[in-house]
Amino acid sequence: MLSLESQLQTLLKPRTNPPVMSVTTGTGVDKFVHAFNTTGLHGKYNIAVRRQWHTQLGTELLKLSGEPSVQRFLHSVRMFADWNADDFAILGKELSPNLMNDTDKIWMSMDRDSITSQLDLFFDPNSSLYLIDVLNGAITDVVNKYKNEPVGYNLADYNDRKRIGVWLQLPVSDTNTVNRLETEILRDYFKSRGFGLMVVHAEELREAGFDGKSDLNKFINSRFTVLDNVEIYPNGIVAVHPNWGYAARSMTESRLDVALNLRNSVNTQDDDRVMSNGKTLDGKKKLIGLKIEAGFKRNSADWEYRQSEYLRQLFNEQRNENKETTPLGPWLRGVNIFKRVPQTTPTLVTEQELGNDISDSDRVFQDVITRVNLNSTLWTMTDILSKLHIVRGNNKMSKLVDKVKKRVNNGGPKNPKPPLTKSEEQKIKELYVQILQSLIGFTVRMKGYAASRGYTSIEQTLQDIKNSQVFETQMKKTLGISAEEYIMLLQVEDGLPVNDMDFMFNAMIAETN
Amino acid sequence: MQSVKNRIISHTPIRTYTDELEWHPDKHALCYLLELDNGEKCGSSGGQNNAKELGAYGCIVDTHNNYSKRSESKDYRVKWLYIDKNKIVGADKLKNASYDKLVHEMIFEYDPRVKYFKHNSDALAIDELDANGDIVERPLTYNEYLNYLDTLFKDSVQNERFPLDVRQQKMVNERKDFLNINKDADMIINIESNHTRAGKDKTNYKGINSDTQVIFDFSGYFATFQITSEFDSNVDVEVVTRGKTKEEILQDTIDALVQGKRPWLMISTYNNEESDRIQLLSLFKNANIEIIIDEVDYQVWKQTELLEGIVTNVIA
Repeated sequence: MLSLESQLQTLLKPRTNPPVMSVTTGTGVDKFVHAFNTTGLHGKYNIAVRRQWHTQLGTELLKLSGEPSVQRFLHSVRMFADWNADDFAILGKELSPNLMNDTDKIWMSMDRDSITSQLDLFFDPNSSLYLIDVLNGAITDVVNKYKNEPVGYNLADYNDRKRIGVWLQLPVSDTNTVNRLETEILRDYFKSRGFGLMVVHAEELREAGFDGKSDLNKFINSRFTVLDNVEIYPNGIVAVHPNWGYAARSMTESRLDVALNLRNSVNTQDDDRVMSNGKTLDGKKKLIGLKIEAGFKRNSADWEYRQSEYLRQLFNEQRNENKETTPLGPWLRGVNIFKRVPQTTPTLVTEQELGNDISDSDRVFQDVITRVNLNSTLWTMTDILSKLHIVRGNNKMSKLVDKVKKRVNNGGPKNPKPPLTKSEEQKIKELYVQILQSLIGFTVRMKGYAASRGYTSIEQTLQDIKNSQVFETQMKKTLGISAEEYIMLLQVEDGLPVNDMDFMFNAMIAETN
Repeated sequence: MQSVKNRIISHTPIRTYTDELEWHPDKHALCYLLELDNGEKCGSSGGQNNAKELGAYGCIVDTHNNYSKRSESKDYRVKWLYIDKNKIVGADKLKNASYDKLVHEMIFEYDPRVKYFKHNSDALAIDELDANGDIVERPLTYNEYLNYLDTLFKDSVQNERFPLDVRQQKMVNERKDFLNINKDADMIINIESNHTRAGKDKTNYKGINSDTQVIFDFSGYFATFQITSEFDSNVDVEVVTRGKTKEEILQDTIDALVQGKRPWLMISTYNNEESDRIQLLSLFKNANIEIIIDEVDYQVWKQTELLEGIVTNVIA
């Protein structure tokens, strides 16, 4: 009797093709590429690598051209919504000044009045941000915008939505807090507004008899079906969830129409929950997935920055898909961004406005340098930062970085550290500008290298530079750090403004071409 | 009429979802519906296990017309079910005749309110709204169970499948072209960034070269093997590896190859390059194999040693 291994070998035909590995995901592929490049396998073996990008916007543009096989895809529509005290006053509400424009604080306060006031902005029919009206407005504007495209949208098929599904992203991470919010405030609140409520987190799944994260999709489908009762919940269903570990699991619930993000951060997978096409709660056809960002912290025109950053990110992605993409190219017509300024109804930003925004490269740098995150773990990377060649002497730089490191609040809310003094804060901001000047300044030297190899991001280019001893040496001499160390800085979450840096880099490459 | 070991099933009520009234083991799945204290249990049998199980619940040979027998203090009711295997989604890939699990999955798919009962995972339950609008759980009733079976099995259930769209077709073509112009490479790597709902499973499935004999799918560490919904049962066989020994995995792989089919080894546990799942790759060094990794943005794929382990084990 042959061993299993021997039996197997008798059944296998001789190899005629090299082994093929296909890796797929969204934007996270870069991390894999980085890890793979670090292995040194490329030098040891002849490995042929093919890279390919397909963006949401690329598919939408194909859809707009009338291509029948992609008509099932939805338009991804983004809204940046800002508000002020007057918006609350119109609804007969008042929010304390220190909670205004800081959604995290509103929710952590557990104060019923503050939380329901904020929710009223979106769930009170008298508000100009009432989600059902906002969705209908967005559908109407998108259909009108594309009336001359060969897609033949009929407004009546999509509009006049009466019952909707909402994916509500809370800025709360702790499941116990979410449970308390549910029982003490949210359940009654949403019932009174005609919305069924489901809470989504790991414990809730298990409690309901589901297996955990692999059952996330089933759980959501199940809850939606159970709560889908037009008499009890005439306006729809709201799924609330904390900032949690399952955010990266995919799900396909089509009855979600609007994602309302009250957090100050974005998770790409979690952000796309509304992008499944299929049945809706009221039987209408689905045209768009609407994602509303409303979790701003700062008090002045934050939506404006978010809008620009989003636009730049889209441009960078399009450059990946098609190297010919230029800032003012035809891709802009596929971008749908709504802005909402206080006391008004949301409006669709015109193509011309988008073009002005993206072509204003001076503003990009201004945006970048004024948005330092003093709590980022970037500041704990002292060993790399202190090597950077910047205008200040290295000793001073090290001291200052050390000071920030000691005060960085990444120990969590239970272990708060004393805040920086105003003068320290000012010094750090100046230091940050110099760090960026140094890092972005060096990209000028990389643009030719990137252009000749078809790269569209700083990280891609650096990964290649790692293999070029000449360039790597030059880099250490000029910048003070290696390509690997630069990459490490880029990969710090919420650290450097990577999208904006890539945008400027792409603009430089476009000039080279 | 076939008998199931010591049980004469012709004496029991039988509900058939078949083209023929007689049970043929090669064509029909044999299941039973058993009443429990707290819900209904749908079991299935390829042989004697069901009899043992029913015996354990006190249901032994019976001659009553309605097949109901008092055991201890409880009346149990049993109904046999014959179901055409080709009506049960995934039955062609099944090895151990546990058709009930697949039937459950079909019910869950048909009505997402239904799930395993929290207090007895053998039974099914349904979530409903009470008068107050709150969600409450109750076990599925006997008649509800039968209604689901009637709905699901009177006609075959088919999932709607979209053909490849133009982008997907382009990607599949490019994979093939790239392979053809790099035949002399030691290895080919396709790296594809795609957007939400773009249909990665479809391109990963259709992108497999026709010469490929064995596929390793590493997507199960965090992602799930949704790609199986694309499988053509005449061509592909899913080889589950979770909880199996290397020998069991090899045996399943050999069985698939003997049938002239493509085994897909679904790998879901591999902590590092030392994992026996990674070592398995080395047995296929001289065959045409492909590796699929979906959702590579998870932390595990940043381990350079793991990547080295895979590559060095597949390159001849």
